[in-house]
Amino acid sequence: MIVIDDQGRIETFSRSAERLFGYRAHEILGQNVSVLMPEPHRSNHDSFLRAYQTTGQARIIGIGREVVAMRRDGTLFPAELAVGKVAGSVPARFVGFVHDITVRKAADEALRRERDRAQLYLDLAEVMLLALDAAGRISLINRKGCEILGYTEPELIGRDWFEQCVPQSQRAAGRASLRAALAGEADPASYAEDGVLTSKGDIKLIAWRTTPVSDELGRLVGVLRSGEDVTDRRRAEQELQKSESLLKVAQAIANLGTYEVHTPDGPSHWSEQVYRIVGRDPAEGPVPPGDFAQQFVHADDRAQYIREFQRAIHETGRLDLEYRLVRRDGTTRHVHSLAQMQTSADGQSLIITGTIHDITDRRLVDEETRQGQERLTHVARLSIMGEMATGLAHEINQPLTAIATYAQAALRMAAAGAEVAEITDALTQITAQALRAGEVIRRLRAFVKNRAARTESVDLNRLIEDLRLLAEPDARVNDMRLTLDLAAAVPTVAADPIQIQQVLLNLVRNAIDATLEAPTAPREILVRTRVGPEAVEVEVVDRGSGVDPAIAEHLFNPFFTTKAAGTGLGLAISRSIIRAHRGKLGHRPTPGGGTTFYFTLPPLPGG
Amino acid sequence: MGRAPALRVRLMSACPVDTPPGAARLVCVVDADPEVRRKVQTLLTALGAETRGYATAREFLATLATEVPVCVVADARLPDLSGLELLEQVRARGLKIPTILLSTDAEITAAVTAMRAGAIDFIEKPYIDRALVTHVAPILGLDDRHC
Amino acid sequence: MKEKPATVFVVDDDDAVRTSLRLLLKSVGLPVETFASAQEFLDAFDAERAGCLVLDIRMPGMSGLELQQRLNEIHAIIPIVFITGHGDVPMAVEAMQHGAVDFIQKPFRDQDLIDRINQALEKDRENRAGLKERDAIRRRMQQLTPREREVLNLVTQGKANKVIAGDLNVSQRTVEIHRARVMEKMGASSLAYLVRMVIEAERVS
Repeated sequence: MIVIDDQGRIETFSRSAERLFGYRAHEILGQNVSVLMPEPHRSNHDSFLRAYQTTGQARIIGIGREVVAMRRDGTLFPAELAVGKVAGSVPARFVGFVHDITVRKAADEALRRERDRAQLYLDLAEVMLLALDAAGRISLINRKGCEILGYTEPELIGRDWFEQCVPQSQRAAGRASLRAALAGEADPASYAEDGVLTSKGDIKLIAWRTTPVSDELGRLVGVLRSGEDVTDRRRAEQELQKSESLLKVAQAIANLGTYEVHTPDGPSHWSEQVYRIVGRDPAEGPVPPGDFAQQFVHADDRAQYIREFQRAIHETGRLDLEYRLVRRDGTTRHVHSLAQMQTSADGQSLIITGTIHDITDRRLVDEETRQGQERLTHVARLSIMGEMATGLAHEINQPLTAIATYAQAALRMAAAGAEVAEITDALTQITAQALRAGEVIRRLRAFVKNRAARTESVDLNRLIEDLRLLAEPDARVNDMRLTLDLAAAVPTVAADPIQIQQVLLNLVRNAIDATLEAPTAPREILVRTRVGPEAVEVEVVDRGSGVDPAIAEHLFNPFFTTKAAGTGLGLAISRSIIRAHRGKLGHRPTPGGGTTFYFTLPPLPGG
Repeated sequence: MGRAPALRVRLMSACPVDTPPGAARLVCVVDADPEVRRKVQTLLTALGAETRGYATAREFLATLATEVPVCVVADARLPDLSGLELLEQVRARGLKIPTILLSTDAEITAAVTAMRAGAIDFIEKPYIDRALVTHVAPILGLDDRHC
Repeated sequence: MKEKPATVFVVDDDDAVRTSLRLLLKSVGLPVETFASAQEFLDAFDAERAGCLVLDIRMPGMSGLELQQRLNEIHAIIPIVFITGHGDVPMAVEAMQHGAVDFIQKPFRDQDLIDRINQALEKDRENRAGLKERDAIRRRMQQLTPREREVLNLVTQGKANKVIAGDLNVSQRTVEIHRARVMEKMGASSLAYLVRMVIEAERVS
């Protein structure tokens, strides 16, 4: 206890104060009480005192407060200070009781630290911790809980859990399970997944474990629940399931099966689609890899299958093979197999992972497309022959006329008793003319015959010279001249000669039509071969009407035609023929008027 | 004589015809197809002709005793006679009437035979308008330029 | 002037057809000359030479129909037999309208062609005979005096001497003398013959 006067001077310094501060009473009496305080309290004290003296307002009187005091040796200690005014004292005197609270402080601190640590544990826990009282009010919730629910702690403590955080539809069930827990009917550590309602209105799926909490008397007063947010995990699981079923559907749609086989006799897995493709009941399980070739691979493809498989295992590590499977019911499927070979981690077995793709339908479509294309090409060939029919009829009619005339002349000469030598001459001519007509017909038949495409090594110059027999009559009946300008030493090309003739006839036909459209144009069509650095080029040059720029871009479109009788297929098919030969078909203006159509063909290596 | 001179023809409007008064303007059309008769007669009327149509050669030949047309337009294949036979029957009556034969799917030989027998033209249907104008207008005493 | 015999001129661009025709026509004793193109024939054409033309329609350069047109333009009277491998009706009709003797399709029966050629040669003979007669008449007419021409015109119009005398304002006797001179110069044995000659002379070939 310390008593001070109105100036702050110490008047009384008790024995306990002597012990507390380390001063003897006679040493301190009369000194200002502020010596017992460290700065800044010391200066503040003076101002408090002065303020009290002028205003009568006491800052600290009657209020116990924690202060820091300073011993004689300068050490500081926490103290609780209670100040009172000595009743009736004039001038005023104040009495202060000072308690050293160092020990209490330490205990408090320890407790606080303990609590903080517990809170830290609660907060560090990656699960939601939630305590509910018997009424279902939230008595505790940790940071994770707040985070999941999207509230701050004060927003939750004391609120009804079910009202605040449980979706409407699950509230009744929630309360019932709380009642059951409080009645001791629930499994002490029951597990349940329930939805919670967040502040944003989302539903999160929480996996709860619930433990009843009892007071010191053993009465159940609430529950402690730990909850784990499994929303993402469940979603991932669902997605995985979904993608697995998607994969299954995808395999079914693509008719693609996947498998993993461990050889020589490890586990094998076939996807459902593999069973479907090979026509085996999934209940029977996979066939051992060693038996697959024998059981399923088409006899004609088996040797190659085994050879390729061995090569994949021993050399390349990869299999990429098309072959035929024969199902138990005898039907044949075309499949494409891709596989990767890997040695297992223990080096004991070989793991073959692969796909089997059923390409039967594609094969059929390819085949139909190819046949359709061939039919179309053939129709176009017939069509162009139709367009050239006048010229060709003339070309056959001329030798027929000569034959008839020679024959009739010979008859007359014979009747008139002419020399055999004279008649023989007529007969020789008849033979030559019959052969001439026959040659036209032979070419014509070769040209219009419906045949599969085939590639031969072709001498383009010769092909063009042969073609002249078919193309020239058409020019002639239209009063035009067909001229050839063939480069020397044109390399051999790999081509289907009939298809190339078809392209050429098309181009000559078009050139004739273009020339007809320009009545004053030179009536001359030139077919020229040129040898470029990378390709042989064939040009068909006309001096006709030229290509209208407005239609140039449609020129190669199927069914585009400017001719009354045209099918519009000629150029489209010509282009696809040349493309199939890895060449290019195009056109450019002829210098001085008209159009030059050209196509290129790559020469045979070493040709 | 050009085969197909460029004519300025306005078929639907009757030409201002100044045919000499009293000049014969009768043109007979012999064709089994009433539609062809109608079409040809309309055209000839527009050219200023007086026309009569007959479905058969006999009907037409029967009228020759009473009146002789300045021109005959006849199908090359009539139900009773061929156009060529009609031509010959007219000749047999000592008459030389300019005759135009009309034909579908004609053979060259038929056309040439008709021409040799004296037909002045042999026209493939349906391209008959211009040829009719070419031949009939001068016969009616019309200059091409009038039409 | 030594006249060549009537010749069959063959124009066809096809060697074999040309040669076979030559052989055929020679076998029936007809003189033949062949040409590979219309232009070649036209270059060698001599209007004075008797004969006929066997002509292919469709040829490179000048076509058969074009040659016919060119010959018509120069009033050539040579009869034409067309031969063609692929003619059509309008083409045939045009050829006939322009005076062709016939239009034959290849191949043909030799007799048909030979008949047509003979017809054509006959027509050529007639044409030439007619021409010759017309020339003779015209030459005679040129020997008439202007007055005699006047009398000829009026006589052939069917006018009587008395009327002519009135028209020309001369005596009837004078008309009779002129008329006798005309008949004598023209070589006419009767009035009807005189009229026919005048009509013939006025015909345009």
